[in-house]
Order: sequence, then C-alpha cells, then structure tokens
Amino acid sequence: MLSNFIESFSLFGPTYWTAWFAALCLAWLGVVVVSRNQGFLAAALAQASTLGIACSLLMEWGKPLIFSMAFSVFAALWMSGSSSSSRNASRREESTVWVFLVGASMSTLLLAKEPYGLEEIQSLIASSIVGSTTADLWGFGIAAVVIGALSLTCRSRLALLLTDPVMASAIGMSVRVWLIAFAIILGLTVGGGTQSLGLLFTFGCLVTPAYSARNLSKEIQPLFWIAPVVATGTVFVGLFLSNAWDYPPGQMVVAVQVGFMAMTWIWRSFRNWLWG
Amino acid sequence: MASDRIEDQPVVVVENVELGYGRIPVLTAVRMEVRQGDFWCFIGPNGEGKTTLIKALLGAVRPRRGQIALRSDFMKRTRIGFVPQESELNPAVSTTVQEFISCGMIGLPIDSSTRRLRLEQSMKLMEILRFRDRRIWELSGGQRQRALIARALVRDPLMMIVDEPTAGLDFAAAAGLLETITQLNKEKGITVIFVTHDLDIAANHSSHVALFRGGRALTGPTRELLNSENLTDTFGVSMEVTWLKSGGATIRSKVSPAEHTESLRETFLQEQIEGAPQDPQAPGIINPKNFISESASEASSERRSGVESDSDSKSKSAPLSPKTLESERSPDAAVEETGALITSKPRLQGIESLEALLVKASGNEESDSYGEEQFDGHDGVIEETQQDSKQPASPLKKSVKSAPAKKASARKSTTSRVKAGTKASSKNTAEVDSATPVKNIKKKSPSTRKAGATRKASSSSSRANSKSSSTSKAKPSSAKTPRKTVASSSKKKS
Repeated sequence: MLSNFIESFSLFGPTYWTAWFAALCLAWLGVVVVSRNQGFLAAALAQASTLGIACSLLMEWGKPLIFSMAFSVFAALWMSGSSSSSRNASRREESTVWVFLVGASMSTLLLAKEPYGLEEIQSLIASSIVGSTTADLWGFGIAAVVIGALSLTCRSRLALLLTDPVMASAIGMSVRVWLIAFAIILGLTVGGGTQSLGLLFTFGCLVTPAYSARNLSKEIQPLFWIAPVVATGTVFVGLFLSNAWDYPPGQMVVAVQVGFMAMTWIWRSFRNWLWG
Repeated sequence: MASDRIEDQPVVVVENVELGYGRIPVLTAVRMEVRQGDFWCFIGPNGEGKTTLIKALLGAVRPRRGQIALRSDFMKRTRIGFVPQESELNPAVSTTVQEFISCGMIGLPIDSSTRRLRLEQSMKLMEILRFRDRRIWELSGGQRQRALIARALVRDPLMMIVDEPTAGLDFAAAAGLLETITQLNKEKGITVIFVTHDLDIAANHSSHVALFRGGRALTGPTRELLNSENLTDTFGVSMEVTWLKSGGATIRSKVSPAEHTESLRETFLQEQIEGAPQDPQAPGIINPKNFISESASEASSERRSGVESDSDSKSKSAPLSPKTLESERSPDAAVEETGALITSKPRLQGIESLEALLVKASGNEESDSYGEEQFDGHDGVIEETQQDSKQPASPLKKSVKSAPAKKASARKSTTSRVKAGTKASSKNTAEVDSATPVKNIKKKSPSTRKAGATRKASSSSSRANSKSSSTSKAKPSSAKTPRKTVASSSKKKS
C-alpha cells in the first residue's frame, strides 16, 4: 500500500504537496479563528469565495481565483469590522450566518441556468483536490512559509491579543490593525483554498487541527506548533487511505481529521479524569 | 518654584477630552491630572464612561477631542499595569495561569531569566504559585482576579489601572485584593486608578476621585469632591457624607423606607388587580408567600416553643392567592422552616393584612422597633459594630421574647424584607424573594439589635451594581448581608 502511495506521487505529486502546504497555512490561521470562537466564520468565508467563483463564471471573466479571493477578503473584513468588540458577539454571529447563507444560496442560483454551472459548484463543494496546479503549489508553498514565520514569531503577541485585546492595546499593539491584517490574510488563504482545493477541505483544515490542538494542550502558544503537525499528519493519512482504498482524497482527509478530533476529546476527558 | 524632577511632573494629564464609540458620545470635557503615588477612584453608575476613560488612558480608545498626555517615562506604556474586568477576557482561549501572567511581559525589553524571576515573584505575591499549571478558567473568581493583578505586576508598574477588581468577589477575597492594592500604593508608591462602585473604598483609601454622571467627569481630591451634593448628583439618590477625624468617611443614603415601601406596595397591589403571573420567582414580582413566611419565621424566631406544624410546608407548595393566605395561615399555626422551629405567626388576612403590614412597615418603625438600628432605605446591609461581634454567635438560642416584642419584631421583620427588596425595586425588579429564613433570623438576632447595628449605604451601591444580576436570578438580595456582616465584624475584631 505504501509503495503504491509513493508511486502515485509521480502523477499526483503537485496535488499532494498543495494539500500539505494549504493545510499548514490553514492550521496556523485556524488557531486564531478557533481561539476567537469563530469556527463558523471559516465556513462563511468559504461560501463567500464560492460565490465569487460563481460570479466569475457567470460574467465569463475567466479569473475565478481572483474573484474567489476578493469575495473572501471582503467578507472577512466585513465580519471582522462587525466583531471588533467582544460585546458584539450576537452581531458577529448574525453577519456570519448572513454571509454563509448568501454565499450558499446565490452561488447555486446564479449558475442554475448556465451550462455546466451546477457541476462547477458541486465540484467546488465536493473538494476535488486532484485538480490543483503547479501555480497552486507555489502559491501555497510561499504562503505557508510566510504565515508560519509570522505565526511562530508573533505567537506570544497573538496570545495576548486573543486573550485580552484591551491589555494588548495597553502595551502598544494596535488591535484594529492586527485584526484587519488577519482578516486579509485569512480571506486570501480561504479564497485560494476554496478555488484550488474545494470548500470542504478548506473548512476542515482551517478548524479541525486547531480544535484538536486545543484539546491536546492547556496553553495557547503551543497550539501554533501542534495544529500544523496535526494538519500535516492527518492530510498524509487521508491521502494515503484515499489512494489505498480509492476514495475521494478531500473527503477522506476531512474524515481523518474529524476522527482525530474525536480521539482528542477522549484524550481530554481521560486527562481531566487522571490529573484533574 | 517648579521642580525639574520627573517624579514631580504629572503622570497623566487629560485635557478637555471627549470620548465615544462611533457617533455616540460617552464623555465630554474630561479634565484630570494624575500624579505619582495618587490613588484615584472612578465612581459612578454603570454605563457612565468609567471603563471608556481607562481604555483611553491605555490607548485602546482614541479621544475625539482634546488630548491625553503621558509623562515621558510612561510614553511607551511599558510600566502601566492593567487589571481588566473579568468579562473583557476571552473565555475561548485555553491558557494556564503561568502563560497568562507571562503575557503581561510582552513588549518589555528584559531577558528570559528576569522574566522567570518576575513571573515567580508576582505569583508568590498574589499567592497563586500553586495554581501555575492550572487553566485560568478553572480558578475561582478570586483566584482569577489575583492572576489578573499578578499579570499587571510582572510589568513592574509605576501605575496600575484596576477596573472593578472586587466585582463578583466575596467579602474576604475583595478585602484581600483591596489590601494588596493599597499596600502597593503606599509601600511602592505605585499610582493606582481604581474603578469601583464601592463608596467605602473611595472614602477611605483614595486620594482623588472622579465622579461620572451624564457624560461628565468631576475630578479632584477626595476630601473636596466626596460630599453629599456631588454623590447625590452622581447616583440620583440622596446621600449624606460625614467625614471622620480619623480621615475616613461614613456615607449613608437618606432615602426613607416609606418611599421604597410605597413603591413595593403599589407594585404588589397592581399585580393583584391585573392578575399576577403564576411564576412567583419571576423578576419584578413581589412574592407574598415568601414575604409572609419570612416575616413569620423571623417573628417567631423571637419566641420559640418547640412546636412544629406542616402548615408552612403546605403554603410553600400551594399556589399563591389571597384565599390561600387567609385559609392556611391561622394565627397560632406553628411552622418548621429550614430547621428552625417556629411557633408564632402574625395574623394575615389576605391582601388586607399584607397591605396593612406594608403600611405599617412604611411608618417610622425604625425609630421604635429597630431600637438603635438605623435604616438607610437603600440596601439591606447591616454592618455590626465591634460590640456586636463580641456577642454569642447563635441568635437562635436567645430568641424568647414577650408578646409585644413578638409583634414589634413581626413588623420589623416585614420591614426588613421590604428593605431587602428596595434594592431590587431600585432596579425595577421589586422582588421580595425567598431568602433562607435561618440567615435572616440570624441577621435580625437580638444581639444584633441590642448592640445597635448601623446600616451603611457606602458599600451598598457596589453590591447594587455588581450583583444586579442576582435580582434577576431570584437570588436573595439580603442573602449576602449576613456574610458581610460577619466578615466585617470579625475583621474589626482582629
């Protein structure tokens, strides 16, 4: 089985590497998303980028990646603006739900009467990671290096920003600038991920490694190490199993990730029982 | 001659500042000058801009007009410690005490060994070293507040901004925290800005106060500003401030019990006329059942003969109506309430009797049946004198009294429930709730009355604000009173 998987690299190498790099980027960003209790925001962003792709196909402008990223960034900034205060939690949820529903419904409605329109949307939702290109590979490779470096060097500041934004302001961090910068990076990554790897894979890699890491660690700073390790490992296992059993790779990766997440729940309960 | 020493220059100068969120103004024309070693208290009702001003001092909110100038050694805010309200923290973040406190050192140019040293020292100082590996959200409220202060202390601050640190804490924890902060101010000369609703703290610890009301902040030395007129303006309740020779002050509300009782009576009668909701614990509803049973239990605590009956337990389960009250509450029925044997009850004839009790309670009873006890009409707080604390701690054992005393105490206990309810009524939740009778019996113990308990409004506003949620949760507003009473008297003792 392993030799079969290694042999498949000759054909699907770029796809596998793209999946790994994208999972790394999304896992680092996911730590922030999950720590801000915004798991659903990722799904809404993915839907917004799907709407962007639908618009691009409808207008026949031929730049689905740019549209996907633009819609995603716009949605991330809008949701970030409506949630700058922790007291606006209900407004934040409301705007997130709105973006999700608009993205989901309009992307289908816009392309319902177009030839192959619905197939396009369904393939995006189905996360067919096999279609990723060399450009995707380079894009996510560079993104992984940049986001990884930023996350690991700024993890203590990020920890403070996430725990206590007022204190972060007090030590001179501009919370607004940080949140806007994060929204832009998140929007670009999710937009690119949705267009290249599909909605399910993007959403899964964004939140599940971070949730799993949170169950494994008591502290926030180690999450920036644990989450990417979990993401890389689960993507490897998922790709391996999909190759061995001939299943769709995107869904298999996400299935492995949610399975691992369930195992971390058990571990967390066991740890609490054992050490209190 | 003006001194050139940096210590003599003001730490913070706020000049004609206007603050707000979006288009909504919160504070206008704020002026204040904070000097090193000052202890400032920010006082005022909720939503008047206290937290907004400290956020502006911290740089989290930008002034719309005017300017906030920091002394040169404060410019980078590296030596400002901030203790936020607990609600400002993000509970979704998983963090240990140690990591949480370490976050306080972000942005400081210190090496790792100094970091470790400061971390350990601050945890030791705040007595949370043993919790270092525990999740911050697993700690109790008091321990978490200590962690917040430890995080401020690791910055080796010259100024500490503390936003309602005692809110939600029990008396002992709050007193401990206050002592620590006062010590830091006195011994280390740390400038403190303390946001609080507790007028006691302001009167007895602060050097300066800022009173927030109607978008304005009145700032200046405590002795000058903390007077009856300003406090009445700030809180909208008539208050009396008496400065003591020792330096502290006594602050009392001058609202008469009659005003509060009248409002309660009106609410109750209106509920009866309009048809009272079925849920007796719903906010804003006087629960006559509890009202009566409590007054009865307190009255009967004065003379117990050891006879018990199940009539009260029936009344507990039966739905409330005037008829129920009339039929089930016979004058000599004995009841058992949470372990206290009770034999006497006032004769209650439905609404009429209850109304009569309320009308009686609204009279000048504090002058006769209270003895030396004074009632502020604002809160159900009794603060015992030192003499009280020396009395035996079992009020139940010395409750045999003559019949007139019983009547008087029945009236008194009714009034005291109304008093406890006044806090609720001031929050538009005129609820007389089911406090544990035993506690109330203790509260109204003969020993308490003998020694002449005095009621203070000073700390009442603190509780009225910080525990505002307790009224909506049908938590007895008077339930905390005995605890504080005991704690304060034991502290005085020591």
